[in-house]
Amino acid sequence: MSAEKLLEVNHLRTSFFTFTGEVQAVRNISFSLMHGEIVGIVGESGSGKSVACLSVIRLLQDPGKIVGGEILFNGEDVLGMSKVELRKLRNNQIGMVFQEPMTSLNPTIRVGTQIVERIQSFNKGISKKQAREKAEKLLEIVKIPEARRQLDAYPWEMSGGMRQRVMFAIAIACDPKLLIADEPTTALDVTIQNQILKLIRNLRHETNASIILITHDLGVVAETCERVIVMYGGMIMEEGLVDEIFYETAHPYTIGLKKSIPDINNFGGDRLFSIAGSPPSLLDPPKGCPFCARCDKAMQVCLEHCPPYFQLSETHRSMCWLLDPEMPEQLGKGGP
Amino acid sequence: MSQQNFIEVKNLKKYFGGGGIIKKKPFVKAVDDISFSITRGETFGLVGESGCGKSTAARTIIRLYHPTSGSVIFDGTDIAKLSEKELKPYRRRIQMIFQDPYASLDPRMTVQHIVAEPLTTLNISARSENEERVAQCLRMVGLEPGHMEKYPHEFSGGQRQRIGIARALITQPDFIICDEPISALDVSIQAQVVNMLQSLQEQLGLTYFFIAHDLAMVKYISKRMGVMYVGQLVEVSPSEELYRAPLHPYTIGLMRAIPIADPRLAKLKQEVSIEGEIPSPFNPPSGCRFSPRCPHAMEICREISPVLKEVSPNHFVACHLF
Repeated sequence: MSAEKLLEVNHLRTSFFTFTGEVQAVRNISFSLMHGEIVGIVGESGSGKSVACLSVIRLLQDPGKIVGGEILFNGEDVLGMSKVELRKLRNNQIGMVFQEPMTSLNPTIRVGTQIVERIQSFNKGISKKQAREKAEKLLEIVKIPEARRQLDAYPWEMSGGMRQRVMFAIAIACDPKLLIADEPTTALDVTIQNQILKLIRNLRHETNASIILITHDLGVVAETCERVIVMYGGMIMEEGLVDEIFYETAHPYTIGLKKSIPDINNFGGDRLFSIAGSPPSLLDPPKGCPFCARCDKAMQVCLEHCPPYFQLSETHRSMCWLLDPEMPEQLGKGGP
Repeated sequence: MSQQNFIEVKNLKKYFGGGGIIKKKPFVKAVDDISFSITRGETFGLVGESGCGKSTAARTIIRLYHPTSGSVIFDGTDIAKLSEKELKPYRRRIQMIFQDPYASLDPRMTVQHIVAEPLTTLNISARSENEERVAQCLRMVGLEPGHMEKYPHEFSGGQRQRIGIARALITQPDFIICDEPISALDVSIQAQVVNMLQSLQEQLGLTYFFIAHDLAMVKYISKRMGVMYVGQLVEVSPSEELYRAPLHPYTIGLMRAIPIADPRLAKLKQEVSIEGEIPSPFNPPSGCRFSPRCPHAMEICREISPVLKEVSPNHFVACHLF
């Protein structure tokens, strides 16, 4: 079993040490990633989804620090790596795509040069000509029309969708085993988003990389991912196969999220469901369940004790006291 | 007919550029001949992708931009032709809510000053009365009047948007333009704000012009809506009908591109809805602007730009197929 795991994160805790105090952005999360699967991490802003992924590749900037836990990439301990080993890992095995392609690309350097730079960074011996040919191939893989001509374009001459394709080309240049896409379509229009999501699905087949897709959009997850991790207040609330998360939803937060999206096929004039309140401050996180202040099913125990994970199937787990088999019948045994 | 229409936009155009001393610069036809109307108490939704001119349309209607041509008839008066001075009484009646609650509130002003600012700039009331009015508006948007002395950075995104809404309400307007008011918010907060906008509409009889790129949300909040593409309206219809039976190929493609939060349905539609990129408004394609991306494009589409025509009651579409 563990041989198939590309990435294993155990009890990861990441904090930001600010002037006002310790912001506990990621609080004890564990998850793993198999070879060749697409996992979606869903959550609102500040839920810790981006910080969790930056921790995995140790790209956190001051004052962020990994406080505890263990990260295994292909069985190797990432937290114990030296700077040189880390660089090698990021260089050869991991690709990353960020939300805003314009801020990730250098506007003063031609797109082709930026890709060539990336290719030469892990393949020192390659000639410039060969690297350029490879760059052209990469642009073809990400479906940029007239790839050869576009190599000479500047990022600002391209549209948002094209720039994001260039970002993907750079990310897959090293044939990564892991591709992390942090809200790659949030800044894009729906028709372009649709094209990029298809590109992500295709890239998985072409590169056989495992993909982590960070998003706040459940629609994007439903269309692209096989497994879903739902984060809230720095913790994983629920994790499962995409069908389990959408059709056997177990956690009140996930249920609320699902209900907050207007159903495009529903023509009733009902008021939209909304989760009252706002996410907890991670400067002083609640002692119990992070969601309990907004949960309409919250009980006394939720305020005081953080629930453990209850395993609902081999692949599906959720953190909610309502799922406790010892929960009295009238309080909603067997799930909220 | 015009009696019923609270706001009537006719052949509105807004071109940017065209200046230059030695060489004439090209025009950007940001809004190119759009017409629609909104009845009192109604919400009219406008969707379109970035750069299609929906925000420019809103800002031209509210006269933040001077229209190149066309008219905006607001409650019987053409406000597109009024001078700044003549416009002043109408400024009070038309307000706007902006997209980014982080950028649209001055970080150095207290909530009280932010919300009261329209009263001072429009000389509506004396400073002494302001506090009571501000408190009332904050209560309407679900904030404590005790927050008045705080600064914007002390609030979350959803709360800031509420402050922006309170600022729009303080002049007791009839008509509010909501320019992507929820796009910058988290899903669970979006629903709160949309619900609040709807209750305010019921309580105060407001008329909304609601712009967004999230089609599901626009459909949810508005009775009628328009779809814009590169400066032009391609389809205007009652929202339900637009979703049930979209006619324009662009609307159909846009609809298909929305990610469905239902994995089983999503698996049924794996192919890309619309290929290609949105054309630049500097140099829009000739004829129908959607023709280069349209799967049904014919010879005529590349030559003649189609006009909006009514194909069924209240359902207008600009396409040569109909």
